[in-house]
Amino acid sequence: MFKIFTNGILKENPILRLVLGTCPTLAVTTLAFNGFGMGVAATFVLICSNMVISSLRKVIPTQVRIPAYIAIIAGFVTVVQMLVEAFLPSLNSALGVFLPLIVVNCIILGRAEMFASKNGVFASGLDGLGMGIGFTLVLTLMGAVREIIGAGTLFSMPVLPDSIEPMGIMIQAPGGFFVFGVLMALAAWFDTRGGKKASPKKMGCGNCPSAGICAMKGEC
Amino acid sequence: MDKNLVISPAPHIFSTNTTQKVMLNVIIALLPTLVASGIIFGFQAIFLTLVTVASCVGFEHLYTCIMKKPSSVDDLSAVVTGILLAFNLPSTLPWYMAIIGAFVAIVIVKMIFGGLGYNFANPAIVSRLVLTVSFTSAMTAWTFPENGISALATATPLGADLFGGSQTMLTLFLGNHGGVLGETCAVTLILGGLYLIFTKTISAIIPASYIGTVAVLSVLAGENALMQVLSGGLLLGAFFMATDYVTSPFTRKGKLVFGICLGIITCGIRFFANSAEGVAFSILIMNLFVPYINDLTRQKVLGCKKPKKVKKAKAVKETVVEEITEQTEPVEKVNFLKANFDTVVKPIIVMVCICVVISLALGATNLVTTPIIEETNRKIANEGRFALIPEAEDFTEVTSDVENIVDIYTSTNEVGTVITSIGKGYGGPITVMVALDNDGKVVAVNVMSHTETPGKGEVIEEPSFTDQFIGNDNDTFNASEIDAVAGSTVSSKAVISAVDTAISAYATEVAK
Repeated sequence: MFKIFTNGILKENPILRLVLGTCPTLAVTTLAFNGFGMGVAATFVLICSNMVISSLRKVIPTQVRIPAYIAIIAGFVTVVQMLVEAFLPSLNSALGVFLPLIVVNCIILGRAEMFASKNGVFASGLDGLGMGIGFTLVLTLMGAVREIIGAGTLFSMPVLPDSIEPMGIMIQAPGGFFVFGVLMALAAWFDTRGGKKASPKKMGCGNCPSAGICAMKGEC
Repeated sequence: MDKNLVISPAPHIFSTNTTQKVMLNVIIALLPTLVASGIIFGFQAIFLTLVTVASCVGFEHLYTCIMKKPSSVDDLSAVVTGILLAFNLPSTLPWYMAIIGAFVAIVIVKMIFGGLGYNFANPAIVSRLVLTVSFTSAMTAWTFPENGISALATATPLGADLFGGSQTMLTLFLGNHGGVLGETCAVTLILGGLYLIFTKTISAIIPASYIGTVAVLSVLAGENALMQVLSGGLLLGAFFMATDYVTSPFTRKGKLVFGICLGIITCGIRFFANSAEGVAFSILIMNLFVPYINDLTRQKVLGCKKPKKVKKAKAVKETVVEEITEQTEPVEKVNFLKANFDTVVKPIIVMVCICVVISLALGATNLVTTPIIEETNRKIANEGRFALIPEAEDFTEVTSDVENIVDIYTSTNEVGTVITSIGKGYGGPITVMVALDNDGKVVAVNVMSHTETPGKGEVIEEPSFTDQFIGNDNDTFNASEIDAVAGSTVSSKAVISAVDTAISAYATEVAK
């Protein structure tokens, strides 16, 4: 059980290892707070949708599972959006358009397809929590790195002396890709324990994160 | 490993050239320009070059130490990168920015991709562009030689030309004008370039086709060709950066294509884009195309034929399809609903159920949250009214049915009126709150909510824009006198029309 929870944080981190949900990752991480808010909102939706989809996994026919998942996810996102708008108007204006866009975040659909549709309600909830925390951590970290180097602040508090001009490229698109790449490299390095090569068994087609839904099973 | 090596057809020749010798030649060719920049820009220029060279060599050595690889600094390529990088910087650039530039060039562009020979683009060029995007003001602070013409103090000749200035050809030749370190002195650059060509370090094809294309296109576009060639970073780029072995094609045809494309992109950027300098960008763009150019211009082996496409037998497939359709037809006649319950009917029922449940949940949430959202919005709106007219005690609503007017509130103690109106913006309606005094004159304008493009549309909230309305009443207001914000014309016009609506509504609804 504990392994399901920790999987999402590093070993199968949705952004750095599964490479899902890269669009919001690159778009909202210009500031650490934006990354954090986005992560928390997505985590909430992920836990709820994972649990609901898991409990309905025997009812939903395979032919319409994707539309069914999308409908459920969209429902939760809209509920979250309404609640945030009603009770946390300041967060609503900070996240702006990216809040409703959680609907199309691949992590949520990806986990529904890869995990929740095959596992129990409790395990799916744990998986959602782990994945959500992994997502939030990476988003906050990326936002923090980009904010410090690109704007000289962290959570809107100045951290660099005035005499040093912040490096503006970091809060623009190229900086996002650069930090993303560096973090992915670090995660891969950490996973292979710095220098030791991954065993061939571990690298094959079967170990691909998308193996469960891959149409070319074992043929690529 | 052998698989990856493409061996060109014989004859082959043995060369005594080493990377070190080639790089030493390039350094010799760059020296006159370095001396010239020292004379033109002073000691600062030499200091900056020392900083970049030292940090380039230092970063390369450090990287090889950390990655436990044999040190590659003695091939002198880091020294060349350092000098070229310095040549791309203005002499006033703070030293720490130069070190960041060296880091980008050596570690990010060169070493991470595998060291010399594997870099995807010219390290100095990428570094210059990263620095330009990051520290735009410091990177475009073209310093001007002290004895220069002060009117051109902030612009390179290319930039100055945009503002109608002029430059004598002699100044361009001697480099006695503003710019980055290594691009100003045309004489020494040409001298260095010719040295490289005569020692066969570089081939003349790239510089000749690049400079030639720029000259021809300049004449066609009605520009001064000599001025286009001598100013900006063209000579530096054409002789020293576009000819980099790793990031330029290795076939003659490829080099020609490379040079011509460079010229076209440079002219495109210079003549049409919102930027005076196009050399760096064009070299970067063409660097990325080099593998494809190499592939397409590769020498064909004599006598080699193209493999023919094999036609597949279609007839076999067609007969199989026919058989299948014949077999399935009788099944269709059985009760459709029963036969397809699992594949058609059940999915529909489940989807409908899910959608109904979700709709109910959404409806319930909406029922709960709508009054709260409205209440918060009303609170924010009333706060907004008090912010606009702090003297007011309370507000009462004036009913009206004017188009595009949300509501009209007058203060109970008769100090003013606040009208909320809507204008149609780029991304949807823009709500604007306009406060007017008892004479119908605008006291303040506040943009309440909008869905305009993030990062662009927000300028309509700035006081510099909204303060333009203050003091106008229905008689004096003229929508065409308000300056729209450049880049957000639609958004600004929406605000202007909303204010216009509010002012005329005051005249018809309140002042009557």
